[in-house]
Amino acid sequence: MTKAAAQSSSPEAEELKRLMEAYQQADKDAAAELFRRISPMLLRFLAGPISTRPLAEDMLQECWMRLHKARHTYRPGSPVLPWVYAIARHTRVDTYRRRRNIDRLELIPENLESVGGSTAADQDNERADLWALVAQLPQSQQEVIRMLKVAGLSLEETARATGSTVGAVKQKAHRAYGKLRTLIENAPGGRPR
Amino acid sequence: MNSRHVVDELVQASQAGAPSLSGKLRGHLEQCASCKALWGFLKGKTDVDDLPPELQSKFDSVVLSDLEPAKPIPSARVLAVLFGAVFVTLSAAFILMSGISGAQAQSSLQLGAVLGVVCIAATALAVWLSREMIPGSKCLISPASLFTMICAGLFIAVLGLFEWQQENALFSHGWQCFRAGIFATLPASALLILVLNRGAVLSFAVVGAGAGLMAGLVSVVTLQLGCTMTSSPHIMVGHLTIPLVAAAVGYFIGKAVPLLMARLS
Repeated sequence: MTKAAAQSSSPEAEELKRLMEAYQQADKDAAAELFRRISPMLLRFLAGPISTRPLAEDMLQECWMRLHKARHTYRPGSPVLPWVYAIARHTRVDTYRRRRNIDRLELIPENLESVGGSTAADQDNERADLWALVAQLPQSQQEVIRMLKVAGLSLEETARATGSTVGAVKQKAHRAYGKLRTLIENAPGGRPR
Repeated sequence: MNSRHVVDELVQASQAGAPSLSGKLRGHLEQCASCKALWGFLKGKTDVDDLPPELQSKFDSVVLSDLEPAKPIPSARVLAVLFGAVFVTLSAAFILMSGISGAQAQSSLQLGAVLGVVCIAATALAVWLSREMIPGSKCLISPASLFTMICAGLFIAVLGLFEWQQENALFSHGWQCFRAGIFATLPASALLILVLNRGAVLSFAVVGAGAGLMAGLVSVVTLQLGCTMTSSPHIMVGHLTIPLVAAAVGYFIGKAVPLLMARLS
């Protein structure tokens, strides 16, 4: 989905509103269509530097359970994506928090490479480079960049989804771009550290 | 190519509906892994576009199988009025129980200023809490700023308008008011939680702090009208610490809720 399509007045956004309202009225076709449209975006958002594909899928499943449980809190006529991303964002944070506690109990990070079959080195180089670069940004900046760039949300929608103001979102995005520039400038041999 | 120009062009291209890159930049991307990675990220190019069939079947079995109509939550405005009604009703009930002898011991300016600050604070908290119940609501002010302004407003009003008198039994008198105030805070908290339960609260800790603060304001009103001691140290120790303590307790309970939910699940 492009950024323009995500604007609340676009036909795509209007269609999402219609589907969401129908989902609230227990329309199964609308629910299935909403799932089909939103899930890839959410999976892309939930996948990140420290999440594997299976973990992202688990988060997506958890996220849908939360969306379903909270569907009555969607206000008809209001933009759908900020509502969805606000819930997805908290799903991700809660999952990472839980995982961190589990990892702390189960494995120390140094041992992970020797245990798992799938490490960063085994994955596609481009993807590893990508995450290596983005992972160096603070979590809040990564989140804003992902919403603005990957999900195509507007500043206003990103502010709603993150529970902050438009000014704060602009500032975070600005700082993230600045940091990315610095990272690229400092990367030895044109590769992120 | 200068990295600043590269990043700027990549960001601009990603913002365009149909991204296109100059030949020079495309050549650069062939050689530079970092910029290529950044471009992939900005375009949202990941390998997660295909959904696993298990997820679809899980969605079908859990969501679609017993899909029932869900009545949309009332608007944030209605919810804010509901919070306000809880605040006013409980304050009135406790004032009826404790009396208004304290009001006669204060000047109209003192009474008006403290009650004014409390009413503004309660209104702001009601609006904020109502928005926290609806995910993706517009954020007008950060919770940290809101809480700071409320606490600062109360302390400044008390310090500026009430006389600073040394008290020998500051803490014992303060403790009596504190205990009575906590009694008023508990039912207020319970009712606020009941209202909050109708929405989908995402940040339990912050909302817990906000609810605690609002419940604490009920006791501030009650004590301000019922307590005859008008020295600023007493009001700060015996009255104003209640919303602070209630906010802290609410925060920690809110922190514990997700952990408990995770354990139970």
